[in-house]
Parts: sequence; C-alpha cells; structure tokens
Amino acid sequence: MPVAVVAGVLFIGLAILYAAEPAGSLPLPDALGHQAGSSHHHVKHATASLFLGIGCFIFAWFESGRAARA
Amino acid sequence: MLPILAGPISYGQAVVLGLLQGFSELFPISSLGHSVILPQLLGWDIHQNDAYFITFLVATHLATAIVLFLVFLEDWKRILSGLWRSLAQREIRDDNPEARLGWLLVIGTVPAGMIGLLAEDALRGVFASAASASFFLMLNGVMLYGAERLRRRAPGPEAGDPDNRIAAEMSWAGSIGVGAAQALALIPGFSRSGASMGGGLLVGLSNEDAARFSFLLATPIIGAAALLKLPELFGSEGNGVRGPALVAALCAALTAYLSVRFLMRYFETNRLTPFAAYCFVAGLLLSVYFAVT
Repeated sequence: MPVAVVAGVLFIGLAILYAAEPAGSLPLPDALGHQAGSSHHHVKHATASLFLGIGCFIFAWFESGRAARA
Repeated sequence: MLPILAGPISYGQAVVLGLLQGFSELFPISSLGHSVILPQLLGWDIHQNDAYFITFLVATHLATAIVLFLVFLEDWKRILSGLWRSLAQREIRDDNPEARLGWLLVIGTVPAGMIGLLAEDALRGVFASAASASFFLMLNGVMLYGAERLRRRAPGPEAGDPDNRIAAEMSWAGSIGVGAAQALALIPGFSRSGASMGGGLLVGLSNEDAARFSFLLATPIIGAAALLKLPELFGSEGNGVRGPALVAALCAALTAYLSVRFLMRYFETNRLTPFAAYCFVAGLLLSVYFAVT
C-alpha cells in the first residue's frame, strides 16, 4: 500500500509538471516528452499521469481497507 | 463532390460521414478504417490527418458516446451506485456485482486509454492511408473469425441479469486483456468493438454479453477522447466545420442508436462471423483496388 501511495504522489506530481511546463522546459528525458525549444504543453501526458495517480490512490484505499479488516 | 458546400466539409459529406460513423463505430467493422477509405473511394479531398477532419470527428464521437450512455442509462446508474458503495465500504463485496462490473470497466479502460493518450497521433500518422486501412480491415476479418473459432462458450440465449453474468464471468486479467485489445482500433481498419467483442468471447462471455461489455467499455473511452478534443471544435480549428459537425453528430446519434438496438438483439442468438466475412472480403477487394489504382 505505501508503494501505491508514493506512486500516486509521483504520478500526480508528474501530471502537474506536464501541465505547467512546456515541453522545452521539462526536466525529463526525451523519451518522456522533453523537446528542446518546444513551447507545446503535453496535455495528454498530463491527463494520463493524472488518471494513473488517481488509480494508485484508489488501489491504496482498497488495500488499506483490506488491511484494516484483517 | 456533394453539392451543398460550406467549407472544408460540405453538409452532404457531413451527413454521409455522420451516418457512417454512428453505424460503423458499433458494428465490428472499424469506423476509423471506413472514414479513411470512403473519402478516398469517393474522391473527396478529405484526409484522416487533416486538423479540421479530426476536429469534425470529435462531434460524431461525442454523439455516439452520449447515445451509448443513454441506451445503457439504467446499467450506468447501477454501476455508478455500486462503485460508490464499494469506495465507501473499501471493498468489493459479493452482494455488489455492479461494483465489480464497474471496476472491470475502469480497469479495461486503462490500457486503451493510456495507449490512446500517448500514441494515437503517431499511430494515425503511420497507418492513415486508405491502402493500409484496407489491409488492416482484412486482418480485422481474420481476427473476428479467429475469436469465433477460439470462443470458450457456445452461442445461445442466457438467463439472468446480463450485468451480473459479466461480473461473474470476467476476471480482472481478462478485463485488462479486452481493454488492451481495444487499443488495436487506433490502427485504422481494426475495429474497437470487434476487438473487445472478440476478447470477450475468448475470456468466456457469450456473444450477447461480449457485445454488452464492449458497448459499456466503449462509452468512457469514446466520450473521454471526444471531451478532451472538444475545445478544438469550439476554437479556431473548428472554424468552418462546426455546422457540418453538428449535422454529422445528429446523423451519428441516429445510426448509433439504431445500431446498438439492432446489435443487442442480433447477438442474443447470432455470431460475429458475417462481420468477419464482410471485413475480409471488403478489405481484400479494396486492397487490390488501391494497389492497382
């Protein structure tokens, strides 16, 4: 469960980064969306990261419920 | 060229493309493939990767998603209620099959959603020609026929609530597999509904339940993809196409409604085989035609 929470925080942080920074300023490798000199915002990457983050939190929510019942 | 011209897409073309979209999105015959092939066949100056055409398609996809949502409105009410209960209870209980179906749909949406968000543009760019769409339409026929051959359950009418049947039969891994199969539809020629229905047959659903699961799975992915691009329709990229897009959306809504009604009844007792035959023969003939011309 802690792993899911950490992953959720990382994905939400990534979503904010994609939404806030243009592709040219992303502190990420090219494979993850950095494009030198580009002012394009990776909205789709931000959306995907946001949904993955929410998914991690939901997984952690169910897992913590299971742990509490055990 | 159709006569009523009002910009890059005429109203006549909008009617044809809208009717085609609503019909082919739900029949397992590839709406994207047909929307690539038809303009080429009719000599229309419309290309799949033109920004205005992608913007235009947003309206037809949104209309299809709204129709699907309304047709299955009672199911969605139960599913959303079940999801909420499961979150409140922090578990998916055995007496809450709607929650299980809901989470199966969420999990099934993830693979195609992620691949679509991250790779749609690249895939469209590579495979957007009518010739490649025809070839993949032929392969779509092979895929549908293969799914029918490898099915785990004989076709026929079933008893009980269909949503509960799906929730009981479908595994988490199966839902991810069916969801991943949907991503094939990013390649023009492969059908989203065909891939998900075929996947449903392979994991043990009947034709009727596979079709229902496919339509439920389609609603969030088509709706979300359309909503994401909706600002483009109302922005500068929508200039000149908003009127035709509205007409096409209404036409798509009509054929989507008729299609889903027909298919839900059809799959109570019938198979994917006729659609497989259509895709294979049409894909083969069109591949030869585009190779020759």
